[in-house]
Amino acid sequence: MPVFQAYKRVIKKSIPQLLIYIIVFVTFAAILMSSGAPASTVRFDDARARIAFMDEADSSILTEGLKNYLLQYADFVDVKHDQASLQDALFFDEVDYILRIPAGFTEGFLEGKPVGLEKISLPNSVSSVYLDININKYMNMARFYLANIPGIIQQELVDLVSRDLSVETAVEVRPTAVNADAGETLSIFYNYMSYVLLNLLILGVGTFMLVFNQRDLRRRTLCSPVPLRQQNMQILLGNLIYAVVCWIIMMALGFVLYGKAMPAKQTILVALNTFVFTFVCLSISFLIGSALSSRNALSAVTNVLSLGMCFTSGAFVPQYLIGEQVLAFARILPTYWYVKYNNEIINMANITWDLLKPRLGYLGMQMGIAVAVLAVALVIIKQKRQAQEA
Amino acid sequence: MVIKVENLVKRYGDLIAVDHLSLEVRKGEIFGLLGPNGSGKTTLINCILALLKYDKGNISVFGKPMAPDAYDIKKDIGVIMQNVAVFNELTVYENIDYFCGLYVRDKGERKKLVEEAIDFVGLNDFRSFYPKKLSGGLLRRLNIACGIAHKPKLIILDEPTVAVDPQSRNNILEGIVRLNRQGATIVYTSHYMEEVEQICSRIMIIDKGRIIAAGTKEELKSMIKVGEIVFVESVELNQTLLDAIRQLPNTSLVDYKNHNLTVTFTKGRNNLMNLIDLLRKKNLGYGSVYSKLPTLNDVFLEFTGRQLRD
Repeated sequence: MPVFQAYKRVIKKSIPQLLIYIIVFVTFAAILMSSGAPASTVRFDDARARIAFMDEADSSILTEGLKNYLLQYADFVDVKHDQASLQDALFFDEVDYILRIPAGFTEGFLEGKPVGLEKISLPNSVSSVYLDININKYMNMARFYLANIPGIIQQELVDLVSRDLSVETAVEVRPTAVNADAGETLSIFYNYMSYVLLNLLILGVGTFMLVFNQRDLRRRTLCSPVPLRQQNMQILLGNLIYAVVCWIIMMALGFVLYGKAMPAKQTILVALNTFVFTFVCLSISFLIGSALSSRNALSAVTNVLSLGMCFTSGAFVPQYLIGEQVLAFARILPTYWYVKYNNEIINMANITWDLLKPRLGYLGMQMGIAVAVLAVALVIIKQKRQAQEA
Repeated sequence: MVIKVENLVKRYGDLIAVDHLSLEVRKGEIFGLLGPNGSGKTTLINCILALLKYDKGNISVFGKPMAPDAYDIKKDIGVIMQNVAVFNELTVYENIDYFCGLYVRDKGERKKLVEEAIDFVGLNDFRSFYPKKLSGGLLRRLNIACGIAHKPKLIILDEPTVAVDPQSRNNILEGIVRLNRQGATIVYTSHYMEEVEQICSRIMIIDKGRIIAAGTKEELKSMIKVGEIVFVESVELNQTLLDAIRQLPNTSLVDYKNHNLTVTFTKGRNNLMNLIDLLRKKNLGYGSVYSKLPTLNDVFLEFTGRQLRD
């Protein structure tokens, strides 16, 4: 297979040039990993707040029950009950939360009157919000029993509420989806891969096509006893093997760098998308290699096409930051569907067939574009051949 | 007959590149196709190689009709194109191996043939060089090695010495003669008449796609009136003396410029002696005197009224 052998040799000579793209990509991925990828979160811990508890109702059974309940979630801090001391405690971060039970609260509550607890908390404090939830939970539960058991006494009410609130359900956190931050990193990585694949394919396939289609070289090869069909088959074989090798290298890099950050199902689906996109790149490269006749033109077209396609499709900048008109144009580009598929699959919490089905359409769009580009390339080749024979 | 072309016509729009041309190339000969640039030589070669479609005529090679899919014919043809057709990305060795590989599948045999070809064109010291590092002459030799490595029975060389230094040119011409001695039939196109005259056993002169003349070089020269051209340098002549020279037997053309005299004689005996006798009788002093036999350029000039390199 002399044409295939020549293909291998020409590609081998282009390896240094091709390596530049891979090295830049790996460097980019390493930077991305060190700066943006957090360790995946699989633990949950209660937040404990520091609370100043002021019971102006002189400790009823109900408020004591509330205090005991809150002990599970907060540390009680002694603070003087005057206004200035309380403000200082909050300002100097000695407490997160001040809870005041006004005089007559218990009586009013038991009689079903609209009474309220007073609270002061640090703004934007997560633990304060958490305490709010727990206090509301306690009081709502107490109100529920009070409304449904007529004549219930305080001790019984507190016992029932405490019993109910002590019931816990064990929750296991499983990483069934990619966490949001890692998802963004993975999206950036796989979307940027489209740029690298485009360049690798256009430069590799385009270079050989350009070399082999030089008029004199082509004519000289046509003088040989190797049938034209066989020559084309050998070129096709070379192109396919080269494309698959590029895909394997890219996927191996993805696996080495981010193998554990994404569940297997999503990895397979993203790999499928990358595989389809590799063949889109192959058909684009075939077209460029068939249409162009100079190396300088090939470099220029490679840069313009790969950068243009990736920028407008959201491979470098997230699609939600790109204008509607640009995205409307990008819909005719395979990179748009590639990026859209990646973003949606990587950030999907749970993959079901119903969710997956529309995304497979994105792969279909890419394949459609690949076939259209290939058809144009074949027409150009035919016209060129006819012009040479005329 | 190795090649037979009958009544070939090839048009590019209104331009007739090959005009009802017929030729025969016999086994074992070096057939020269001589003509100025644009005379239709390369078009004719491309038609013979089935690289171009033609409008009319028949072409057969090794007795079989030539066609783009005549692979059994193509395996015995070696082609050296006018423009160097090699991969700049491959070394000298890899290039020859590629072209040889188009004809010879067996790796061991191919290796032997590639080595022989490298040796034949004298590129042993350059086998790992890339074509861009080679001089024009070495590049032409590589082009030839790529065309002959598979030891073809018929070798077609289309102007293989264009833009080549004299040393490389001699090397190439000697190589072609050696290939012919080894049994290959050669078709050699050129617009350099000296080359064609030096190596070709039969010559066809073409212009504007038509045959001007064909035959051995002696046969071609015998077709024209010019028998001899005599040059006399540093001689003082007046109109009376020039008229006297014009009266000499067989004189066809007298040209006198810058004290240098050129007299063209038709075929005949003692032309040079008659001229020198006349100059002596008139007591005229002169510098060097020499005589030249007609060349293929004179043949072309007489048939077309133009120089070969016009």
